[in-house]
Amino acid sequence: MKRWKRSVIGGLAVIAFLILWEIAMPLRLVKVADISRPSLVVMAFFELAESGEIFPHLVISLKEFIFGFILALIVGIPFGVVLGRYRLPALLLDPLLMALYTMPRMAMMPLLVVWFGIGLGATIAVVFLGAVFPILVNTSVGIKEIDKIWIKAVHSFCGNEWDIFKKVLLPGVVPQMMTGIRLGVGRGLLGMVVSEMYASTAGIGGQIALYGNSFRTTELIALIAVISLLGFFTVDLMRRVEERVRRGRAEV
Amino acid sequence: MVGLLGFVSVWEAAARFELANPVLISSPTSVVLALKNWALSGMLLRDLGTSLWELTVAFGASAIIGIPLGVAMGWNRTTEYALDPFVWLIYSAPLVSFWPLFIIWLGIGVKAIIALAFLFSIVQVIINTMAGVKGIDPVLVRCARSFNASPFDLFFKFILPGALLMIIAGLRLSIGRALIGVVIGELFSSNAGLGFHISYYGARLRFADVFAGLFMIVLVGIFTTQVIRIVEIRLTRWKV
Repeated sequence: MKRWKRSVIGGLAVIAFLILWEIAMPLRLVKVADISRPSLVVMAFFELAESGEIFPHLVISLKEFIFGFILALIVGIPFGVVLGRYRLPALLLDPLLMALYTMPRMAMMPLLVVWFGIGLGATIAVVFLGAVFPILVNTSVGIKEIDKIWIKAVHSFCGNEWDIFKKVLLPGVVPQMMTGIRLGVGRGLLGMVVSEMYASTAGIGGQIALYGNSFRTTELIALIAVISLLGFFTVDLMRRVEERVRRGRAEV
Repeated sequence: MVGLLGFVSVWEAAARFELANPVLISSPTSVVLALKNWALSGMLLRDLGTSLWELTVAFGASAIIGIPLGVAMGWNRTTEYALDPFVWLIYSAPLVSFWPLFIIWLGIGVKAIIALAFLFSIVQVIINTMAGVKGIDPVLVRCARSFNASPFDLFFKFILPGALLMIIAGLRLSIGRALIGVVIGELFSSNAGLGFHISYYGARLRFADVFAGLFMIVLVGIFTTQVIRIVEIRLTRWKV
């Protein structure tokens, strides 16, 4: 019932917004700016899809994103576990990590372009940098929040470090880690688009920059919608997974 | 602290003994030198001022608009359901993709940068305020109502203080996001600001200056977050 009401009202609001948008230009509700119209945008989208123009770029973007993100997982999770579990590395690296975590890492773009080369390399690097810190920090916080009693329990049953890791830390950290991964997905996608737009390379971000520079607002909005919905659904998926994981935890 | 010192010395050594190309990685000493030159030329003040101004306007606007919106969404189910899709879309979309649109609408320059930063930061304010208002104990509200509290009283004496912790946490996160927006905007196109400094010298391969710019951005980020943290401590002292 509640669920039903939520989607109906939400849907109605979206439809109202689209109608308002559709009539805004013909009725001159907005001055000067070209805001296009949803119907035109949808048509532009189908044109782009039909001509197949958009797919190679989408594939490139996704490839870059997936590479960078997997790299972030491979580095972020183990580092997070180590930093959460042991004091010395945490004390050593904390200031550095915090500085990097708070810094808008997209600002490193000009450096990355030179270090890793325009295109694939730089984009993967930005996605990695964007995604790795939320994952790492959340994982280490999650590990720190695990009740020490469990670790003591493993010790008193003569368990070794591997047992602690396998039976206490790993299962205990999963919900918090998922939060980090969800945040990382958002940051990674942002990094992907920034990088592609900055260097105007192939990929969906490059296309956005291209259409933006040629003032083709309709196609531009169509592409923005594609990338936004992509972000929306990915993050939503991650949110669902996260909720599922948390719920599983509560039942135990 | 030791870790930071260790990192700096490894960096310096790597550049000195050419373990990595010094042109590409620069070195701490040349970064300090670049910072000094930047400050002495007077450009530092200009860049810092521009960025801080953009940050303040964007952040202020998102607080002024975001908090009432968040309260409305937390207070009224229908409002929440109606605005929910938009908020989540903006929250999860890579917002930079709106940048060319802002340029078409607002022209290259400060306005577009502020718009981008605003968009970055407002969602966080809305989401946190909404969560804070929702988290208020309904018994309290009913109690206030039964003592004939006016909507005005209800808002300023119950809702706002009740949601304060969450709202300020949201503001703290959102100023970080606003900074990201400012930097990205400046990186893409501007003629002043910290992001401009980075992109300008990055294109000229003068990485010491780039690192100096990054350093300043980190400082700004830490500084603004600390300011909000101090406000937070001040405002929530009564809560114990």
